[in-house]
Amino acid sequence: MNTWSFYANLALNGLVEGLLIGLAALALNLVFAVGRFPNAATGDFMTVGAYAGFGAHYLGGNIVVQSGAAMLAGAAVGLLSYFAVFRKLAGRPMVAALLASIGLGFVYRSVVSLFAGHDPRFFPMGTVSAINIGGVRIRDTDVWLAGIALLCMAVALAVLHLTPVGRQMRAVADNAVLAQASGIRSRRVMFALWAMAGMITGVAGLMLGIRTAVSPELGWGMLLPAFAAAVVGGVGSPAGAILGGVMLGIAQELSTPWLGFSYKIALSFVALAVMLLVRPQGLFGQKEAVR
Amino acid sequence: MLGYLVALLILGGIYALLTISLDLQYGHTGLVNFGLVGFFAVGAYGSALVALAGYPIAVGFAVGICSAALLALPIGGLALRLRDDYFAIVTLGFSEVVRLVIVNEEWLTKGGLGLPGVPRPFAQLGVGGAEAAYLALVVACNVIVVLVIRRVVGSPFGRLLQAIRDNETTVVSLGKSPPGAKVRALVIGAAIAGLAGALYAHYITFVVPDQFLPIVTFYVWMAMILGGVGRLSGSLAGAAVLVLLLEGTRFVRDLVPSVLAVEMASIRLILIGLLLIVFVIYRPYGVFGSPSRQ
Amino acid sequence: MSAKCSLELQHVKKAWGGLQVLDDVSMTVSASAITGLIGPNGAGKSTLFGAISGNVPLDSGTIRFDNEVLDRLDACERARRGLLRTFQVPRPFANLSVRANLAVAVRDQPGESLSQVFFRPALVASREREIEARVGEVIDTLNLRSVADSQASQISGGQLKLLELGRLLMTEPRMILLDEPFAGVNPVLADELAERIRELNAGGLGFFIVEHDLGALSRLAATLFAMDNGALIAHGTPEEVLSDPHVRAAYVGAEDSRAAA
Repeated sequence: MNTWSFYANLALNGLVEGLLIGLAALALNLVFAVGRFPNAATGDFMTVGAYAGFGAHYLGGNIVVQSGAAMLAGAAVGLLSYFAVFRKLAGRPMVAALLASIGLGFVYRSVVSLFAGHDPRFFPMGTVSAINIGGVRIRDTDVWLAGIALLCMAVALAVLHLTPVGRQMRAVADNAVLAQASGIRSRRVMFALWAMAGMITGVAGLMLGIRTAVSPELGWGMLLPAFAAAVVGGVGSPAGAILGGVMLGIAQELSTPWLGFSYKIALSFVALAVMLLVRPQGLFGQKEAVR
Repeated sequence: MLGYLVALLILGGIYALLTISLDLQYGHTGLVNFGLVGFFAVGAYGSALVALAGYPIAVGFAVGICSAALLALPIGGLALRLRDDYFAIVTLGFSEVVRLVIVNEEWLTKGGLGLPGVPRPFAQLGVGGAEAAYLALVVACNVIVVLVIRRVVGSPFGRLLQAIRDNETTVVSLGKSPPGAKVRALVIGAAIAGLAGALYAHYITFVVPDQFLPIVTFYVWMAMILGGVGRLSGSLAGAAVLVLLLEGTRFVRDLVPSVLAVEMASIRLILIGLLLIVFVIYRPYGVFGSPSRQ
Repeated sequence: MSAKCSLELQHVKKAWGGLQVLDDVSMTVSASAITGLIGPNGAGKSTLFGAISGNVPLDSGTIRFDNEVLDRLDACERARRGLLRTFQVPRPFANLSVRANLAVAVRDQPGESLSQVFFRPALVASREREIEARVGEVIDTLNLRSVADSQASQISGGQLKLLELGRLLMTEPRMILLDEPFAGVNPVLADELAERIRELNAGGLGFFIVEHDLGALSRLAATLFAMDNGALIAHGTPEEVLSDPHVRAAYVGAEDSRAAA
């Protein structure tokens, strides 16, 4: 294997991982823009989705069924979180929702751990695909996962730009006071928001679980990269979050020859810090008050 | 029984210092520090490493405190120009990076295996005597810190911190510069957290990265909210309740032996999470705080 | 402060969202008199204040205060030079008492330096006593004695406006920009506020006031400037400006468009 295919493999791996980060970042971004706080339970939503998908797999479902289960579970925790907790914190300072989301994350993580045990569960690994171009290998599961991720993203962006409820979400993200004054029913927007964000994170969790392993700590490790991707892309730009995720994923993988696997998350932190210092609105976002 | 009580009090004293530290940073200055455990870890590892290298324990303490304080400077410089939510996530990231460095730089920290055999002071007093002496040390540290913080908070500097917490842009429009004061609050808080870390390391006598997970930061947040944000007495009370909760859950295990340690940890996490949620929703000023404070 | 101290704006321009919010505004405002700024909603008055105080960056043009160019100074530094402003919605320090709100405004407090707090407590204490005395004076001047020890979150809107003014007085200002000081204030308190402004001006402090209450403003101000659609359309004595046909047209026009909407 020559250097080119070595790096190409890394980049491809990073691309798939980046799509995953991008999904999580997209959900984080949506809630940040419309709900106006960073949902620190995003990672734990992913964990729930992963377990649901694993359950579907355990019962014999194929990847489509697993994704469906992950989406349903994700939407369920998203809506539960909104109705039980976040709705009660509307109008309170952002710290309140942020702290509550931390608490929720703990609860979801531990409930999963109580019921499913602490040991990691493994999806069967896809065979190394026959697709092999000069040493560059692509796993067939990765192809499926990338496809599902891209489909999710396309649907999400379509909902945001082409449906009435999506337009309303964007209006609320732009100016909540004005949106309310012009009669947008926040109940419906919030329902759609949390269902959608939950579905997206559920799928992202399933993807992560398939690529690594399903354990209660699964999603927490994604929180920082997802946030970094959202900031790099620009809060307020859903497409930016996806691109940010992809860029971060590829950068993380390409850096492993020098940084090693263990410091991948440090790269997210550095990217986050640098972006906030140099260009707080991210690459594609609008100038919003970050300082 | 007495030995157990002493241990509880020592732990309570350590958490009290952490809560006071966070209360200075958030309760008085409005800094949403989600990375408190990072300073705690630096204090613990710093002191442990120095003591294990053969230097006197007091030197270890000094190094632990100073390292934590010094680390607050770049974090302050970076993060203080950020809004609450970004500051929170950046500080969270910081504490995770600290833990990552501890885990990976095995040549220094022995990585995930941790550092055993951290020397305990007062060894010449025998087992019971050493514990009591350590308790006295923890209490003394608490008394000193409380006195210092009271002086800080009651001074014009403390008044400026509270003004910054209440309305930073107004402070700027009066011709004053908040960043300097905020960095100082962060550094003092970090030093206190570092002290707590050193006390912890030399008490437990071994340090391991798993003792410095983000959950510890949120234990302290819960203690602060529970006890009452912005009040010293609240911080002490909150820390006491926290330790009772943490240790109380262990008693449950003794009563119901079929519950595994791992399950107990999960139940404890659920409890902390629920308490955090409930208090944030219904009593954000804590049990002892007053509603007019934010 | 020399008698010729003034605030000068030269060809100040600002565009935003496709609109020319400040359209080549030039004016000289005395820093020892009371000057008013009027105009219909959307004329650009608040933006002008924001530009002067440093909160709103300009596209082009220069602002000078006492012959010093302000362009590269940020809001904090302009405030330090004695050019201060209030905001339409008062921004008190909600959890501090009225006394503390006033005390915190004083500049150059040794007590705000931690090293002084611990190593020179006597100095800090004596300066605190001075500050307390000054706080007492301002409280008396503004008639806030009844709420002096209450939390700022507990006092009335009118008292908050007085507190805003009081806070600025503590900083020893040279010129104060007042942004709608009479808005939402009951008539009795408004009269008191106007009295205080007159008294302070008699002591040499200049005011530049944006206000919709044309009656109150004309009784206070020696000179008025009028703006419409980002441009200066008239200036002179209150009588001159209020009878100026352009000014009347601007206000009537605004009313017409409101009636039509």
